[in-house]
Amino acid sequence: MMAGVLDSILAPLQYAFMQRGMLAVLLVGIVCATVGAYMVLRGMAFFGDALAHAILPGIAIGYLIGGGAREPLFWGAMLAALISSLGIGAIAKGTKLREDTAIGIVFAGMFALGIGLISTVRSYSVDLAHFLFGDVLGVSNSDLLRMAILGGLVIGGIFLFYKEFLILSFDPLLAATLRLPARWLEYLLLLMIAVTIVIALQTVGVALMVAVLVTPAAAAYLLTRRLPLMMALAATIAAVSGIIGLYISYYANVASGAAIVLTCTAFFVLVWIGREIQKRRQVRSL
Amino acid sequence: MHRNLWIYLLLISFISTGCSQPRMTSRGGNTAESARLRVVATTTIVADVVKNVAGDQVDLHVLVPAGVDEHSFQYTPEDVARVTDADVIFMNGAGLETFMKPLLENAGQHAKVVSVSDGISLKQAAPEDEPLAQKGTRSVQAYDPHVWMDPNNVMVWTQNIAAALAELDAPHASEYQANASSYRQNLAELDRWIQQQAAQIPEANRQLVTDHQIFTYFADRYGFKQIGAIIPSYSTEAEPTAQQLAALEDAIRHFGVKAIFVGNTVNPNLAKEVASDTNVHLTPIYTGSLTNGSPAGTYLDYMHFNVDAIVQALK
Amino acid sequence: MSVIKSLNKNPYGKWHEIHDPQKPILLAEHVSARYDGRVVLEDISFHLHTGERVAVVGPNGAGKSTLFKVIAGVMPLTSGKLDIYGADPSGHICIGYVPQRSQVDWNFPVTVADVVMMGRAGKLGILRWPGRPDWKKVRQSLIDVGLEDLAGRQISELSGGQQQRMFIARTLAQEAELLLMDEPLTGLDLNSQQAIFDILETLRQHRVTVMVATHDLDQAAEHFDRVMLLNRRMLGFGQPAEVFTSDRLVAAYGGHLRLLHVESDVLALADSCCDEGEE
Repeated sequence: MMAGVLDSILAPLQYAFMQRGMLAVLLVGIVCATVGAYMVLRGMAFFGDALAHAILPGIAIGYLIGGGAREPLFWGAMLAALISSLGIGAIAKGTKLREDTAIGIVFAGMFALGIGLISTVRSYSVDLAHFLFGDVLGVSNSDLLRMAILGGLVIGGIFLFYKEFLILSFDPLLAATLRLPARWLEYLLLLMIAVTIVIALQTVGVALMVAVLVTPAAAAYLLTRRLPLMMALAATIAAVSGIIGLYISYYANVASGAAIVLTCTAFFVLVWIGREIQKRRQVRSL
Repeated sequence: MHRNLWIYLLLISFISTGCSQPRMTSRGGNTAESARLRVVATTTIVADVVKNVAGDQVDLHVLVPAGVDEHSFQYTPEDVARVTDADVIFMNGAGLETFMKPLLENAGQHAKVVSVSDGISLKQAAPEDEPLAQKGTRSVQAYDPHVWMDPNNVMVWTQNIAAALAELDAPHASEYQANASSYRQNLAELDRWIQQQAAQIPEANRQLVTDHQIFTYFADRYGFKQIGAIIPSYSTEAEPTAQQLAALEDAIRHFGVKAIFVGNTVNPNLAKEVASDTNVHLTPIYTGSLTNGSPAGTYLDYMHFNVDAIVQALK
Repeated sequence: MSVIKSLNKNPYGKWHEIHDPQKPILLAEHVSARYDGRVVLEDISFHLHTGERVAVVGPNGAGKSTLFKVIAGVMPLTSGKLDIYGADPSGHICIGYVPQRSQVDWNFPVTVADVVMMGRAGKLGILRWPGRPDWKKVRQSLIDVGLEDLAGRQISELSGGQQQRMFIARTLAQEAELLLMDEPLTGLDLNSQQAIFDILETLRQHRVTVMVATHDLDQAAEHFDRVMLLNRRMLGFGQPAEVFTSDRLVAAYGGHLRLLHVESDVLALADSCCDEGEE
């Protein structure tokens, strides 16, 4: 029986595309969840979702220029992310509209622009589905290398500027009195979120991106009261969910992006229920 | 679905304005010498055959441009206009053009719609063609619509086309029939040539792996086996699952497949990965569409190119 | 280019504080400030001596928080001059701001020690991690406010008084010389309040200057060297007895104040309703 279980675990791994897929979801899970910790603490989930959708026109333009090569997609996505963030900032500050309205406007507009542009290409239109929902089976070795390098940079950034981001997130007023370069740090955080989204694009796609950013971090938030531990837990949950999700995708013939997200969500629900049970036990024992 | 929504919205706004415009089409048999038949063909392949039968006598418009995937094609308002104004529409049929039904509904069916594959006995990729049957393949598959891969089927096309044109444009009927007949000679020659070429490939190597299943009629006619496809479906619209890819790689290794053939209308990304993982060569061919000019500007060139590629890769 | 200018202006970490000991720690001259287009502070002039303890009193919306933000250098003034030891506030990192407890995210996953360590960031600078001296300083600050046993607790586990003391510890870790406290006594029981005052007394011995915003006129009169009566304008600054006169109090509080004469004392009843948010 054990041999049977072991066999089921090892069987998919004999295929190179599954190995690459596993590595991809591992990398992506770890990076997304760590960045996601900030997003959960700062209430940026909607913004993160919006940014993920708003990079679509950048990808479309990168596609039109580069014809499917990965580099232009990346730069296009970064450019679109920058424009979107600036746009959101401009609308929120320049009008009496609230930030979440500004986010909604920019997100929908950019996303529609992306869809429109992709539809003009009229060939390779199946790639729209890949951008929206992920294409983890098609990850190449150079994709993996890119993910590892960029992911490393993001994690490095979080590590290097740990105390700065901490102060900025917890007490912006302290950041101001200590004269931290707050604006640059905000831009840096934004940049890191954008890079993370671009890295994760291939595994879960635009539509499901926010889930891998937010859900593991949210589960970790419920579990611990220390930030470094929260990040570590989030990364672990995300990595494990990614791998389990891929296995589910393999054996149940389910889209991999969806399987990964559902696994993340399942983890969250388990943690949530666990906490509720724990709380009730504590009340009863009083 | 995301991607159809804005097209439908644009379409609806166009239709409501278009309905009020006066129409100048003449129906049925033309009387004026200046009135040429307005013909719409769906794919470039159908269009090429129509051109060979109709010669210069008609105004021909192709819906799916060269290089565009016919399975996921999305028509524009201009296409609806052309269809509305057309006298006759030639489509491949056999389930290839999934976009035709909504397009025709939007355009209103004034034109005569001819499915050029009428009368061809349609085939499914036989189970024995896929010895390690790719798991998870939905069994709701209909028939392989890529009938033109066997030139003998294209001969049936010429008959259907000539008949339809003759009916609508009686004065030129004899011309159409003559053109059709002459083109059938070319097709017969093509058939013989392919048989010769195929003979160069040893039996054991006659294995075809493609980006989606297109070679049913070709394999049947010329003695090849379809081992599998990246997307195990007649359409490019599906996504392969992990198990399907795994089964394909197993099949490739098991049968010592020598090449994977990818078409010009689909992103070869996934195929590239499978090819490099199994150490198999990725060979480009033309599948759903001709090219503008060489090397596959006409159906005959298209078949020549593909057969040459197959022979080179599998010899 | 603005990048280089801002970097030169705030060489975060490599700081040259211009502390001119001849100048008063705080000098304000005709300071005015706007917020959202409204005038929030008008023509404020005063100065502080090192080690002083000053209470800022006024109704909600009077501009107390705004005054503190201008002093801390996080909000610009529209006119006038404000110097800390002879230089613009934005050039200093010695100003500690203790926020209102209601504006803190207590669910943030940080411990008491984490929060106090945040105060050290100004001394550390970018890309540097806290070293042994920094941890020592944090530990000492916690001891000074009596929280050394709670160092590892997550901040939501603290009582109101403990939360307040934690922020004071943070300013100690920051080595702040001017402490601005926004309504630290609100909602604390008398014991906790007394604990705070004890700490403030210790701070005075360390020559830390303190400004406290409070609603409590009684405490203002009892525990502070000087009091400021503020309602957009400065209606008085000096000894409590001079400043807390009936007409000045009525001018400051408008309809929110009731003065009752009880024997030889005056009882002032002020209501603190209707918080209008940013003052």
